[in-house]
Amino acid sequence: MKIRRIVVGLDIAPQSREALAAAARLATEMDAELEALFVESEELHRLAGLPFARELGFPSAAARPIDARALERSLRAHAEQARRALTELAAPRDLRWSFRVTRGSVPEQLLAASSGDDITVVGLSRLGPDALQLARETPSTLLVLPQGTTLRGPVAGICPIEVAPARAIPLLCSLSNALGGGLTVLAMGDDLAAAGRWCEEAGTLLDERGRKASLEIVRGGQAEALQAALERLAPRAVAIVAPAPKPSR
Amino acid sequence: MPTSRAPQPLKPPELRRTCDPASLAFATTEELEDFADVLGQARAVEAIKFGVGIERDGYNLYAMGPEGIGRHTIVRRHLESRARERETPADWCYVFEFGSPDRPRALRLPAGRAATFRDDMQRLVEDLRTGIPGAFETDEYRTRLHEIEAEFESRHEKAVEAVGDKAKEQSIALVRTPGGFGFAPMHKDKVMSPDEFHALSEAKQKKYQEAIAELEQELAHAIQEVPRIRREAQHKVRELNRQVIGATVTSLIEEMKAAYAPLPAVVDYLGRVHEDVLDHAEFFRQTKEGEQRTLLGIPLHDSEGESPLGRYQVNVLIEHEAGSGAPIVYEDNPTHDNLVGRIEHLAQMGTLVTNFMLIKAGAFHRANGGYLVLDALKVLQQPFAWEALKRAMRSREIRTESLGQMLSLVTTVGLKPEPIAFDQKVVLVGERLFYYLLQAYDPEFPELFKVAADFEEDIERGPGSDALYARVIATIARREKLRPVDRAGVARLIEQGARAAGDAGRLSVAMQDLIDLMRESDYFAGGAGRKVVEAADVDRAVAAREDRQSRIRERVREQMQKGTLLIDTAGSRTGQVNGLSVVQLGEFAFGMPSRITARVRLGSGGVVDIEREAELGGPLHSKGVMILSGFLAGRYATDHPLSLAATLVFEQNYGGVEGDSASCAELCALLSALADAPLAQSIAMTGSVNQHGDVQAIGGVNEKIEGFFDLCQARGLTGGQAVVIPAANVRHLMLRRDVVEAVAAGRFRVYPVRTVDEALEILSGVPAGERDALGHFPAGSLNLRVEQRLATFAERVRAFAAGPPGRKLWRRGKPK
Repeated sequence: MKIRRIVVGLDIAPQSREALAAAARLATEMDAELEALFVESEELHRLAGLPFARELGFPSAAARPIDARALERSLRAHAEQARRALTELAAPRDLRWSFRVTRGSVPEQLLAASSGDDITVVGLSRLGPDALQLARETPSTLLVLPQGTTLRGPVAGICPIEVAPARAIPLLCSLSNALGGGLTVLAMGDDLAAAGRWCEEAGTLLDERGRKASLEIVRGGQAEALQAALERLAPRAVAIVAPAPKPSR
Repeated sequence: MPTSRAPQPLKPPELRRTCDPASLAFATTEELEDFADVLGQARAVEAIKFGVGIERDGYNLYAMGPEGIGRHTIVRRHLESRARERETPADWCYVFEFGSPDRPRALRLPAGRAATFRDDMQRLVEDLRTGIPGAFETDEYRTRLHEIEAEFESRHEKAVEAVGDKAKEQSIALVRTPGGFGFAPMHKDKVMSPDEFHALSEAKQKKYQEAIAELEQELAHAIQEVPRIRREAQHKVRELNRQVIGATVTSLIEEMKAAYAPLPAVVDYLGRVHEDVLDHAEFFRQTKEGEQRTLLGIPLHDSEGESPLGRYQVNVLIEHEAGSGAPIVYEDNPTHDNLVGRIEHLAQMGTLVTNFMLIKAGAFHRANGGYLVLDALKVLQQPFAWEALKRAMRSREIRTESLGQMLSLVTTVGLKPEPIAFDQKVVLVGERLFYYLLQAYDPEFPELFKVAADFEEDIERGPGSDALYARVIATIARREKLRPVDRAGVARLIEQGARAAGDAGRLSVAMQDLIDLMRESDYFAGGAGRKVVEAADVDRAVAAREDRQSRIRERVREQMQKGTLLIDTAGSRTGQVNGLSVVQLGEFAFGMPSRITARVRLGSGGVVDIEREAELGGPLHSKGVMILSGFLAGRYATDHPLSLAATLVFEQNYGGVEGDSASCAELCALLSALADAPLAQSIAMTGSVNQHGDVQAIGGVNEKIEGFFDLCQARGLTGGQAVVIPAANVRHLMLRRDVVEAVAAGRFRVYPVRTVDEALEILSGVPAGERDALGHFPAGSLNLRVEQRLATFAERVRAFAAGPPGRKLWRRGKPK
């Protein structure tokens, strides 16, 4: 399956920078177009418009008023910074890229922007509700880069067994190649026998490619089991393979 | 006419005690055995043996005597023989002190073990460098690290989230802002727009605002907790690191501890290394080998102790080869730093930095457990070196600190290495003067240097000592790779040894002078194509040496010849005599005659020494002249005042005069003036005199005689020329061969005298005369003439004192 487009969602969070860098590597590896989406939070704009809007600094814990204009300037500066970073990343790689600033929430905007043939990259502080919402709703394969690049674990590929190994394994191999490090495939399915077969097939495919990867089965719908597996692996990135391609919007 | 008792001139054998080559039982020195002992230094050698042997505090040695005696050689020889028997002292290292890095720790190891220990430590670090990163690569470590990190992340996020959840319950959203977080009221799961907010009732608006203020406080509290949570996490990571590498580190260090088990200090140090490695596991994961550290992009020069792993290195300060015996160290340049050691610095980014690897040993460290030999003068000349030596000896410890640190001139952070025990014997080699000055002025000196080895300058001369001297000559010839010396040459060297001692009955043991003379003689023998040094070569070396140094002597003699310096060697004159003085120019001394004149007149001033009045005379000279007054009054004016005003002067003396060796000549001039008896100018005189008129010994008698002889010879020897010397000096005579030959030929004479009367008779040719039973001097005697002249002076003074009778009457009769 050819990935044509990598969509990366950026905002003011510090994880955005890492997500952008990873997306650029991915785009180079897969020879895909890189689309960067800088999302200005709608909520932030609304907050700034309130008469008592205040910001509590992190980590200073000092409160200061939010000025709508200053916020505008700050967001513009963040966007410009992201655009410049993208230019710098793309130039030596000869990447095709585009950069867009939108307003709304990151998951909504990404959902709107990506299709089934895409990989959506997002930098989040952890696999929180935003990630889960995205994973549930996105038609595309989702790559989440948790904060803390010092983690040296493998790339964790979460793959529902409905997805054919022939589709999932090449994609995950490309992802782990781009990000470096090993690969652990977490096959998600309720039917253990089916999951076993899936793993066998996946193992054969991996052997054909000369790749060494771990294969684990996680019972579908058991969020705790998945969470435990992720904490144990300390992955450098989590890839959630889309169940099936959906028509692009 | 009184009879003359003038003494007879000396015979040639009395002028030079020659050494008969026939008395030496060998042809050349090649036949002689080496002389391993020390010639004539029994006292000093005994003192050295005692000082070296006694192992008590304060029993350090001061080897004193003049230069060139061989003090260093003798001291060293004895130290070497003793040092071989002694135990080899311990090795010393400096290592990093983990508790206080500015105070490096001193470690004592058995001789020969320091270098092994250094290598072992190096190997340990290398093993740790491979072992520790390996431990960090394990899955176990990774998982546990992630647990800690994840826990930290989740704890601080959860704290924030908890506030967010609480806010949500009150329909308030926690919104991430560019600089932190903000709270906003919600409407239908979305942040309320400003319009929606304004549409609310005032009471609701207020309620929201109050709730938000409260939430902000809670959030602030949660945020403030973050550093504490982070610290906890760091602590956990450190603990994890310790656990993970614990097994590797412990096994490596325990292995080494076992190897050094008999050395508790080393085991203790290894224990500290163990703890430190566990605490600083990151050192072993950082900077790969060959990768240079940089600061702001500028490469940093990593000195040995500066890099993080450098702290586990070992600075071997002193190492000894096992079984090599005690060290003997001679420090030629005993500066403060060369003694106590140095802490060097490296320039880095424009500042000077140092570390324990840059501590360098000083002479104290090198000599520890053995012997330290120093030149007293050199130590005293170097600023603070003497103080440093005494401090170390007194406190029994070696403290390495720079002068700047010691004097508080440098206030930058430096090192204070742990002091090392000072355990060595110090031998100071110096002149006697310094010994006595130190004894007098430094109260600590007698306590610290209890043993003095006083070196003799000469030995008694006799057949036995001549033979020993010959063996010394043979030893030197072999050691210095010189030609052997034949019998006559040895005889001449022995004679020269006596001459150097300034005493025909003694031999100089100034070995350096003897070695120099032998080298020079060897040079001339070589020039003459001889295989053996002969007497002629020695003579030539002596003459050449004298000639090289005699420019000033020749100048003075030339001035005398030309009449610029007035010295008569013929005729006679009243109140004038040729005195003799010695000019010392460095090593070279020569004698020269000086004209001494005396004038007398009536007065009460006694004898005036013009040299003293002009401040050209030294105290000894003044003393000599004052004795003359005592002699005159005691002999000639016991019952009337000495009504004399006499002046004495060293004519044409512009450079000062010291010593009393001319006092007899001065007395002769004075008596000649009083008696109006002319003195022979062909005779020169030397000797000091006491209040009884006895002539006493003086120094430099040989040079003085030769000085006058040379002048007479230049003007032509007549046979009437002579020198009068104190009889006590006859034993010192070791005159040049040409003088002796002239005397033998009757062309020159040397008279020994015991009293001033004898001298006067020789000089004036008139008998001095002795008091008879009635106390009268014989008629025509010189003494009678002096007595009568002084009596006349006294009479006249009495007459003056009485004054003209009329004057007194006039005074008495003066009307009021």
